[in-house]
Amino acid sequence: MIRFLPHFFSAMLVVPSLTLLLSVRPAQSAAAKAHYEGKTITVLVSSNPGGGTDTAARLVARFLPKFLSGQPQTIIQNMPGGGGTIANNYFAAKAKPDGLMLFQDSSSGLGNFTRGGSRIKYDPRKNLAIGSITRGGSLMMISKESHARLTDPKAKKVVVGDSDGIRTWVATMVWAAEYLGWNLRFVYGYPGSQELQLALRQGEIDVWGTSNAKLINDFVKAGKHDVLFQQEDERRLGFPNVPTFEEVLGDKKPKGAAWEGYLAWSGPNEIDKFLVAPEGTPPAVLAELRAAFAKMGQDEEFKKQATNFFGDAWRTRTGEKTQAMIRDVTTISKEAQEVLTELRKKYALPTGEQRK
Amino acid sequence: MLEAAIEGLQGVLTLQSLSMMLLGVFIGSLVGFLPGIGGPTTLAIMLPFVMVMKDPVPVIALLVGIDAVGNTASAFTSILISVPGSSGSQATILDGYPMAKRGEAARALSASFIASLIGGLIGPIILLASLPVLRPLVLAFGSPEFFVLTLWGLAMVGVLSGNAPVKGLMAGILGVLIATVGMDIKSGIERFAFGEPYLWDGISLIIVALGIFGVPECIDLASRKSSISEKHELGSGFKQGILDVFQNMWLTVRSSAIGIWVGFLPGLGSSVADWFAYAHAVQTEKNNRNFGRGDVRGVIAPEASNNAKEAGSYIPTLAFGIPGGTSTALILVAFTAVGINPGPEMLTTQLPFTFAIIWTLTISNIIAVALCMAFAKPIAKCCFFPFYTIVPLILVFVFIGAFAAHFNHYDLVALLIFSALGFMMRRHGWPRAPLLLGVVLGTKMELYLWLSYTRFGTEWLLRPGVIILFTLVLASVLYPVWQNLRRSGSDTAEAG
Repeated sequence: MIRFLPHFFSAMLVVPSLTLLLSVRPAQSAAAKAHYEGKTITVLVSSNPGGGTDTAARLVARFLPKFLSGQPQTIIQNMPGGGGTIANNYFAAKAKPDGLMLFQDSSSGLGNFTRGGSRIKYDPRKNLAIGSITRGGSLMMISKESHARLTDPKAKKVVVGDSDGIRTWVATMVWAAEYLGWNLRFVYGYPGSQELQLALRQGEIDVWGTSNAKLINDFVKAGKHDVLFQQEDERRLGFPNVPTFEEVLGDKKPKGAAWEGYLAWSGPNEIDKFLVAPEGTPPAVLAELRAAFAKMGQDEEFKKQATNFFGDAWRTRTGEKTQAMIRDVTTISKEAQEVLTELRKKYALPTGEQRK
Repeated sequence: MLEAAIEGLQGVLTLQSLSMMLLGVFIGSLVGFLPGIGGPTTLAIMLPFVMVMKDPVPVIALLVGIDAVGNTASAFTSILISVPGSSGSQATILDGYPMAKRGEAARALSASFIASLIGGLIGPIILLASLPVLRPLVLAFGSPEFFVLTLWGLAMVGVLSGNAPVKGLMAGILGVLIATVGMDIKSGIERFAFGEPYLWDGISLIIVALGIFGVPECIDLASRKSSISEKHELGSGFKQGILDVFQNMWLTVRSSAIGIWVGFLPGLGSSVADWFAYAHAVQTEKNNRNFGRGDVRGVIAPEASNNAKEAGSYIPTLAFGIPGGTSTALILVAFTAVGINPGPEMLTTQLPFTFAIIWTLTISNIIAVALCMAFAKPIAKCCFFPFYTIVPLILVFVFIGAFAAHFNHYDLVALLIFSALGFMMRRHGWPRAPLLLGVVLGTKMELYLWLSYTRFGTEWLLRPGVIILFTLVLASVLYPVWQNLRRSGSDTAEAG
């Protein structure tokens, strides 16, 4: 009985807007005798409502059914906490491989897995990727007032702010401190990007990274902040004059385990927001989901909405490509893992409890 | 600006926008009435529908309409059955429920709705007045200032403890400890979670509130074998409640200002405004001995503040595109989907949309209060239901509200544990409000202390904002003590 209560309540809330609901429900196809006919897909989301991961999930929940046979209903279930760990563990333990529960995760879930610890009870490599939405790499913003202190070791340290010290762009700043000698210290614990944005405006922190192009342009236009560099190895559309991190590193770019450790931490950003099905999902169902995701990426209305939310630099990736990338960025040698842990300790960032 | 105001009003007054607003007010009121189902849940459900709409103004009318009125109807359950309809109406229980028990439910409800209306109207006016200074206003508060604000909140434990200050303090500390349960996002360390994933995300505030207030009152009703109200008539309380608000207009205005202030500080969250306003009323009003025993001013203050807060939470949203809470975060998603760009443009090129928000806040509050007033009398009659009817009804509300926290069966286990705690506290004369306040503020206090220290070391103690706020905290703690000393001094002199 109890498990039906949320549906009962959802129904109570939605009944008054029934007219509205009917007007937007996709029309049933005549040839829709298929896996998803009359079914409901639950999209589990690893963050609070309103953030980037949630927004990506809501876009997917709205557009994906259009390209699935039977055009199922979708509902969003937010399960925030622990940088995505709670939702990842839940999905690994509870999701049935029937294609009716999918998981929208972000690079933080991969970063936490790579960092390790006893509370990680999932392996993202076992999930089956359906596709990903990448919003473009992060750009580091710095207050003009603190810019000169970056390379002056005698000056007050430049403060880098983050929520949990695990974001992929934080890797660039740690490697900049280590290999370029930048005068940095890290403050983490801010609840989310809204608070970080406010802290940057207030001068409580000096450096923060985001992929939100509109926000970056707003900051730059206001005249108190510069863009330092961009995280990805290719310059983003709209920011052709901002160097990449590798360009900034130049000949100071480390080799071997040190660079592998950097790629393991920073790499998941390229995947960004990805949708997966649980291990064991029947190949036919997975193929249908992947094909629908690919078609969704070409839909004009989807493109328009995605541009509204993420700016011009977003793009989708296929499930196969996403799967390979997840495997790459989460497979790390012992030496690289050690470098990662040592640097996190050195710059007073949380290390988690490493996997044996 | 006048042109933008007129354009905004014209947009809101179209047939489509008005019907959307009516729908929003209806849904918002229904959700406010149902304990545990918060505004964010409703907004999340509505998002897919509004994201396909082409015209932004009806979207504003619907979503802002839902958001603006959730705290109006939530007073019904807070006052009538001691169950907070939303996290913004917790403090209303303290005096609202004793009034209902005394047979003054209608008076408490009408005072609550009129206070909500005034708070809901003052909010948009101040929002409008603050448009030119929005940005510096928001930027004035950093982590150290937020920390002192949370301290200020905790200092209210004394106010909420009545005649049992030591028990109140212990309950407040227990609340802070409860707030530490879960995974610390800073270090990734589990605290008091015992490896149980359910506890990683901490204990839901709404479950604590339902447990320590809702269930113990049911047990009390069942053991007394009586109805909630001791008198079986509504009387003339309905008109008296309206008069009460006008007789306490200055308190209503001050409480509304507190609500706006809490709303525009994005770090304080939505559950704090009613507590701040309640404590302010107890601290500053004369003849405050009846607070906690059914003083109508204890209903007016939180209800004025929680509606005004909604307008306040749009200040950071409009100034920077930073949502003031989860509800505004979801509204921002919808705005972006329909082509509104929250941020600096809201004060320039998109000013008509800003005015559409202000008009919606104003009009929807009026509609919601009219709706609640129309239903107040019939709903207040539930106070006369015999215990065997009302107790199961309340328990259904309480259990559904708790289950809605995570839709997890452990929600019900947590509810039972906090119900037992609430029952024991009630039975042994421990004040329960300080515990709830500790849970509300504990996480934020820890977070902002951590950020203040890691960012500024001990230098944060010398920031002008911190010194000013500390002085205010001390004044608010010491002023009642000084007042008591003076009163007892004059009593002694008179006796001598």
